[in-house]
Amino acid sequence: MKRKMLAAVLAGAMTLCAGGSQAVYAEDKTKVEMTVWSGEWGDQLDRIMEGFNSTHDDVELNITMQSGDYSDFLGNAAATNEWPDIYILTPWTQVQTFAETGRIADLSDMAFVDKVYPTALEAGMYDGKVYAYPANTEYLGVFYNKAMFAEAGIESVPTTRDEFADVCAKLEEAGIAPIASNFKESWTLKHLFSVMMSNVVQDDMAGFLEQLNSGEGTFGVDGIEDVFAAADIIKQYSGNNRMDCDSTSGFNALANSEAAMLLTGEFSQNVVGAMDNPPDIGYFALPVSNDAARNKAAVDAGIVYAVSADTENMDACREVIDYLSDPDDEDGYFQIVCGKAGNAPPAMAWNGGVECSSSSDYQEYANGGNITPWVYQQYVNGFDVISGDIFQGYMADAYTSNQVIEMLDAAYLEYLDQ
Amino acid sequence: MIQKKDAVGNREVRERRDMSILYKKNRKFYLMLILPALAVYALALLVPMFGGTIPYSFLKWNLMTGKKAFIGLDNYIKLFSDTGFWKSFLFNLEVGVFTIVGSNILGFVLAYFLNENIKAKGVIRAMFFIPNIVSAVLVSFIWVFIFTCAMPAIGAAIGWEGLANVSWFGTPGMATITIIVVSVWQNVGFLMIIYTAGLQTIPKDVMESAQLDGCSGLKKVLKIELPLLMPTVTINLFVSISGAFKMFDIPNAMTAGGPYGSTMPVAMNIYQEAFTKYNLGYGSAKSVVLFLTVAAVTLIQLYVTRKKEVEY
Amino acid sequence: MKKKIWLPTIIMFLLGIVFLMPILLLVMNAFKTHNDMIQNFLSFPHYLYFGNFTEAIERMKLWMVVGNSALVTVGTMLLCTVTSFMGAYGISHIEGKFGNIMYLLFTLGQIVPFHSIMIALSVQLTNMKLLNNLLVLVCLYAGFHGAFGVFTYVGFLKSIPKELEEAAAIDGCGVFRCMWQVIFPLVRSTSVTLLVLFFLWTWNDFLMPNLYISDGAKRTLTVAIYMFKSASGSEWNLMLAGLTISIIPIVIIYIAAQKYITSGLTAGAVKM
Repeated sequence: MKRKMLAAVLAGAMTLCAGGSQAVYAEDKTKVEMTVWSGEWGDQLDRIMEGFNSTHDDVELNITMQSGDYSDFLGNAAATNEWPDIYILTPWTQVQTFAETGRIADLSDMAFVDKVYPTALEAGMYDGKVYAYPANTEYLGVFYNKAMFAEAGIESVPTTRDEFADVCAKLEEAGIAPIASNFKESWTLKHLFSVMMSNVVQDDMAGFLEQLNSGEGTFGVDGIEDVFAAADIIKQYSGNNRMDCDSTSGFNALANSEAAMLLTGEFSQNVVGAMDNPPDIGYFALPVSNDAARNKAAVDAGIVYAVSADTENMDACREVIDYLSDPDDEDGYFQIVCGKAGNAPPAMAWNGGVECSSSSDYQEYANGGNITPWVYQQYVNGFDVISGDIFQGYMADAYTSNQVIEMLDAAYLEYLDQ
Repeated sequence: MIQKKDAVGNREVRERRDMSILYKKNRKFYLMLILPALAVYALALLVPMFGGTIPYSFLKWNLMTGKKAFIGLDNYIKLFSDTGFWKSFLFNLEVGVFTIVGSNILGFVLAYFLNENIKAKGVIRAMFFIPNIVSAVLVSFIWVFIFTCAMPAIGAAIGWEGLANVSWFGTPGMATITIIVVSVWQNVGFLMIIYTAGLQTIPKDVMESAQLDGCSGLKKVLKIELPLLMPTVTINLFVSISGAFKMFDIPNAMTAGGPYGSTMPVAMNIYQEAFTKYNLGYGSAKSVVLFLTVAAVTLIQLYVTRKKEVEY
Repeated sequence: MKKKIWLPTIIMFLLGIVFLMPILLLVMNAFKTHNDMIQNFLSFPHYLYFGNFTEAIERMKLWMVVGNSALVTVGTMLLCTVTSFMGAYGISHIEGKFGNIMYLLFTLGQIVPFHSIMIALSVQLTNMKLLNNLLVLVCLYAGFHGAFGVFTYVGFLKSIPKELEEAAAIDGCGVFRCMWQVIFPLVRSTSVTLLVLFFLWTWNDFLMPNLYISDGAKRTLTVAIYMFKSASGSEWNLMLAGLTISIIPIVIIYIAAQKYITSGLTAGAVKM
């Protein structure tokens, strides 16, 4: 009796709740739901929707931004197996996992496959097929204040680690803070450690990862001492309370000309570009090695779009992906998301873009083929986060280099057990 | 008038007397009253807990790889030797104790003085309460700024070298202090209102006769008001203990577990298990252990403080 | 005599200002341009710049999101107060083990961290097709906050002399009327306090609407504010403006309700 009553009340509450849930569909258009993570979108998402919907009569694109942690969204969707039609994934490992589990559709026959740079395209591939569309590339390295370099009498950017140390010393002599710290947060250190690690293993990154994934690998590879030597220089020239400064204070320091350099990515230029009189900021690859040829720009696919294998509107989804990958459309995706300083450049040839020093400096590296992918997006799922935490211990002088290597190795094994 | 009676014995006598026909007759009605609350409670908490989290804890289930297998108690066995989890637990206890004690004392003191004869009580109370009503996550970013930029500036201005050069987030110890400070700051307003409400329930005549008996000042607070406030203390301790074990937002926004993962409360450790490693099964087992521990601690607390409650 | 009132008043007021500093900093910077905010975060604004507010209001679709938040919040306040009071009333009148077990059940609900049932709840809501529904959100909040509501009400109901109800029954007052017309007014200060708390918890909550409401037209205010929060923080000025707007109703409601929260009505009527 009691149970019946409870059930009745529950059912009553449910029906009451369900009453309000009928969604109103506009006409008979095919609806495509797309989910993106939070980022520097501003009003771009509205413009993308408008741009697409105004040119497509039978499909209606709706974009939702996940303003919380994107991993919350992915976890919830994975647990319930309810996916939006199109969603962003992290390149490499995550795409591979999603392709392996059959969650995302094979897009190998689409037009973007021929347009995207081959190096970027690889970030969306699994088992020889293309499962995701890499829309743009991002680059990490040193962003520097040109006026401050000139003031300290520095004529060219450093290409080796020793030169980098000299540049730092010169800046300090000239009374300029050499490096703005952003080490309070571990995600910036995840980036930094990845940049340095990529430099060391660039000749055989696949082999390095294969070893790690087999459970036999180690971070104590030949040349790892370069990583710690470079980190030591960075520590020395990052000011007194370097562990107190988060990414925001780092961006602000660069934008306010409070320090000459910041180790970050192109997204830092969002803050710089929003200033009334932004300083002129250039870019160079972090010189981890003393062999100049090894110091390449750390570049990788940033956002990749994947189409859910369960979507009922595959054709409409493909139309959306086509829209997102059309470099010739004058009101298209790239026009909207790549037009400002701080925007990540498209992963394909495009005749537009913003003129700023850092962007053209980067272009030079890209044109010369002097680029290397980030290793962190290819670690086993989730390990990237912990790699930043562990490396933070080195930056805070809490761990020695050997301890860092041991901890990384142990943690990697732990993450392999999924 | 105020007698510290044998509270338990007294209540039993009273309840037995109250076990009147009135109650028995309407038992069905009283049961019905619980149903709506129970229905929404079941929807939000009971069903997900008993139908989701607890069963998940017996699975090896990774959300990314989608692999899912029943492994019995293996997750719980693994938990015993999980040093990361227990480290988080100890850290959580440490921060919890300071936060609970600090915010309760401060909350009571504020409630006490704001209950005395002063002007503009309402406005001043609101000033202390407002920190509690603003999203802790977003205000924490302001706090980070205060610690890293404002404090050194103040230190330099008043010529206090020590304050100017402190690295607030560079060592686990200092980072822990920042978390405690912000947690106390955030919790005080809430505890203050409950203490205020409690103080208001103390009958005026009790206080007046205490005054007449020559009882005043700190003695009055400790000997009369505090014992009479025990029901309020019970609630506040319960709220702050369970809050301390749930803490996530403030540590996450203040230090995000840093430096090098040293300031990670249990909830954050669980979060990392479930949403960084995506090990939902193991993360659920951690949740269950946390839940059982907090349940034990709070039930003991409720038992102990309830026993101290006096009747008047 | 006057001095005795003013000195503590001034001390407490100054302490309050110190306490409020972070919030003042927040509000202050909402009135600065982005440039000014980055360059002089600590200083007073040179002039009051309203651009952040106009832009934030437009971008957030303020009226829509405030409407959604208001619907959810008011719904939760009413539903949760009613269900918790009735639940607590029932529990405090049921004798023997069952009442204690129910009390314990609700008490323990408060110690469950949301993250530990987040996925399970998602799975449940997905299966029941209850996502994207503001009324479901109201029911969920009523469930979560109800644990605290029941816990608090039971505590206060215990202190009400049973003789009061017996007397009412002798006067021919039915149980239902007795509950609402005799007892409910006695716990008025508790109810107001709870209403205010339910308001805060619901108004400020981010995780549930973020996870369970994906439809842009049903977005709540807190979620809308979070849209301005991103890794590089280039829209901090807008976020601060949004936050400032979101604080206003809470402060108003708190100050308005304060009189009741601290009125001590219960004490006068009950304790004789």
